[in-house]
Amino acid sequence: MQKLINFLIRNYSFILFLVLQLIAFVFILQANSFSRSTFFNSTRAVSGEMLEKYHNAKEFANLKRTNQILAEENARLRSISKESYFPMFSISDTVIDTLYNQQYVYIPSKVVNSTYTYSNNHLTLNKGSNNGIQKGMGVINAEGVIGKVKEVSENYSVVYPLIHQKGQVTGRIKSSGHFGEVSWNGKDYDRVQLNKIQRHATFDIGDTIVSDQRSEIFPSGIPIGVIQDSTLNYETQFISIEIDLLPDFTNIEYVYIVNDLLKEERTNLKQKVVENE
Amino acid sequence: MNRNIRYILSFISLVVLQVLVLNNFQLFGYLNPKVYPLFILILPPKINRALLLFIAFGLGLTIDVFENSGGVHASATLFLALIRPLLLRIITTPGSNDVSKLNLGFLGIPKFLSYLIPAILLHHLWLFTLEAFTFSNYYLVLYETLISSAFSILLIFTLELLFNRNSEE
Repeated sequence: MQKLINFLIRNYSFILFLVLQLIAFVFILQANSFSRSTFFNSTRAVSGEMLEKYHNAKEFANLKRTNQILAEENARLRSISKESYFPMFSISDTVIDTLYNQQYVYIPSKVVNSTYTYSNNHLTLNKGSNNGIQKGMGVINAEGVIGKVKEVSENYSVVYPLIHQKGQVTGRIKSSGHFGEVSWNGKDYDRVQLNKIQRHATFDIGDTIVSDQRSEIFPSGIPIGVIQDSTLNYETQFISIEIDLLPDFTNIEYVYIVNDLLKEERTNLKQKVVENE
Repeated sequence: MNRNIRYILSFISLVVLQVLVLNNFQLFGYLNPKVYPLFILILPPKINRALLLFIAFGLGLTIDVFENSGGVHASATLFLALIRPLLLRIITTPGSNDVSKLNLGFLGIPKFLSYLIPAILLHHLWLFTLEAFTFSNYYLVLYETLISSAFSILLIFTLELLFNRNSEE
């Protein structure tokens, strides 16, 4: 304390200078709107930048929760979006009306385990039978088709992704409509093959392959990949297409499990027909 | 008493000269000569530092009041008062001959100029930078400083020649 007072006493003239300068500065700011605005703008810029950095750090700490919220919201929105609804036409005498019945429900889930380096890869999800997951349900993510649910326990499910040799889905060339079987030859984790395409089908490199409703588990139009190359098999007269996968299987965090509410009805109907043949 | 009256007279006349005459001197946009800093420069060399600061503040504030410029002149004149002892120390190094009065007569032309020129330059630099309140296009501020300083020095030197050419007691 004494040292502080000594310091103040020794430098009293400079301190007086600072005090008077401060007063003069206040007068300047009061009188001059330009200096007032630049002063406050620059201090606001400095404090704004500081606050922004602090906010970014805080946001970063909250990322996990934010992602969860977003995944849940996406699932809800997808369920509401028109593609998830099954249109029922009802034509009455004077009014042509379209009623919509919910067909697809999306359950968000986090991937707790995934592989991509084996010849048969698996995904483990943190939702199970307690959340309504059943064997055979389709799994997609924001980028595209992921796979099918193979086994279910109370709280977890295991999925055969597209990069599993048994993870076939039906794929369709978006531009032409020709469909075939999408399967994996076990080689590259970012390439799958679309087989059994008709010889006369027309397509270009770069065309998108999407999911087809004929797979019975996915809504139509979910992206799978992009055409890279094609070869004609002269024996079978079918074309095989090499596809660059759109979903990145090295980096899957959040997925949606698709529940087709009308699947049971279709399956039962088909069974009836087959039984009576 | 005589001395103090002389100081008061100088104060008033310098302020009047500045406010009524020079500030209407709108020849070119960048020419803004200031003669009032002379008052700070001619105050007794051994004056109390705090008193010097207060006088400088008061002088600057008076000009500000007439110019509605807030506190720019007060701030710049305050700065000048702060560095005045430094400048004095520079010009009185050869020997310890105490100067009793700081005017042209006592100091002689070379010493007076080497006292006056840096003082005016620094004062004007501070003043015009503060007036601009930005560092963008700073070369304009520097330009203004140089032109105005040259003119101020000229005017102050002329005043001193007129009134204090001979050393008086």
